[in-house]
Amino acid sequence: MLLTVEKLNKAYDGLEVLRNIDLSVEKGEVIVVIGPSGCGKSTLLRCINGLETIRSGSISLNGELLNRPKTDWSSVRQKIGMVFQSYDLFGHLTVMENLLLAPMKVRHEDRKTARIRAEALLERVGLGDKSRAYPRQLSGGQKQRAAIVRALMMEPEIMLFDEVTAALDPEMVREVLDVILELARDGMTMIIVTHEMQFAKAVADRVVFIDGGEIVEQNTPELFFTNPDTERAKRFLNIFQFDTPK
Amino acid sequence: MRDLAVLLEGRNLARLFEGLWVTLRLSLSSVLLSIVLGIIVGMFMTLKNPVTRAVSRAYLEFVRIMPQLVLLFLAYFGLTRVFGLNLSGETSAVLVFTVWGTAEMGDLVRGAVTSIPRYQYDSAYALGLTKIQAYIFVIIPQTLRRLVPPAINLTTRMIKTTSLVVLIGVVEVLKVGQQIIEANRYNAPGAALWIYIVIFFLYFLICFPISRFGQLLENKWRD
Repeated sequence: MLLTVEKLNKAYDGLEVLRNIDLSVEKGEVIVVIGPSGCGKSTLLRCINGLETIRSGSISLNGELLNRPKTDWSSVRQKIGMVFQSYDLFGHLTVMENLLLAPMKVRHEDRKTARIRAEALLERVGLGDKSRAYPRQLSGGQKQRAAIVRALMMEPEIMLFDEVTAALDPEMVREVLDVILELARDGMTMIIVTHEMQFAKAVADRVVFIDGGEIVEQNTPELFFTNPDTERAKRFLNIFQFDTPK
Repeated sequence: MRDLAVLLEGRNLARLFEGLWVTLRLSLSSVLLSIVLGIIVGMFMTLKNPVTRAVSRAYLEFVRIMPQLVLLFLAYFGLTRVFGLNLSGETSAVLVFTVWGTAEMGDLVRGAVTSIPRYQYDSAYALGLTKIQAYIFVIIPQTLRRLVPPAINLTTRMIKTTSLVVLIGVVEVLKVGQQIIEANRYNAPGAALWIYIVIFFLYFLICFPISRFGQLLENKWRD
């Protein structure tokens, strides 16, 4: 197992947001997490790379326990890439400088080799000509693609996507999801929180449905979207159905 | 012509520049002190503690509500009366403008720091940057970019406001101008206009480059 979450509990000021979460992710697996807003999906991702502290339970990466007092989060986070909902590029740096910052400062890679990798990755996501642009000069979709590349520059073992298309105009959603789909084809291990059901169906190896802070159902996308095991999942999926008037 | 010639008589022009130097000395020392103290006070203002919040709020409101002139009188006459502290006009002026500038600067720093979105911290940490690295490479550069334009605006406001020190007997550029006008009241009554025009240009000479510089940075750093 690449990532194992066991009996994870998380509360904000006594308010439980995650309850007894058990989740294991194999290398190369693509997990899509869905559920109503405020159900704790994003919090789960933030707990996995230590942006949130947890109340109890354990998180292990490659069998190594992460939630210890002495965890070196800086080195753990290099193995866990994360992309957020909002535009999180650093506004005072060009796209290229955004990509080079962490490799040079955290991994102490020299500028030249990092630059070569960055250019190749930018080319791959269709941003080959944007390396000198500032984030303010990019469209929302371009910013998110650049943010994905910035995370990939650290050569993570697993990528976490936190509703990366939620803030985008509809016509830009596709270009970002295509990048993620391509990563999936290359065998990248990913946990994706999304509201895009069609995309979830296409990319997921396994769907995890969270409601009220707990995992209600884990299933294959085929079964989950056509014939879910649980009543709560059925009700949730119905929100996305429009009955044809007779 | 007689009026204009007053400017070139004796040491009149030189005296105006000497007065300008007093203005500059006063405002630059107050501005520099305000920047240093304002950064510290601004950090203090971002604390979430209700007590520190109330204290900094009270300080800021007090300084903002009081006209600068009242603060000057308070420092120059009040301190002498009550505490027997005999500050010179210039010292009182620097004291008052620093107290005022620190409050305003502190508020600008507070605004700049709190305007950096949470995601900027998160994505810096998520890339593996340590807290110190995140501040050095991501947070502080962005804070400075947001801070410099309003700080420059404040600087020019402070320079202009130093003209109030005339009223506590400090002889700066405006006072020198008035002295020259007084001395020539009978032989060249029209000189007043010319003297004030020169003073206008002297202020312009100082403030315009500073505010241009601010605009330049603002355009360069817009995000």
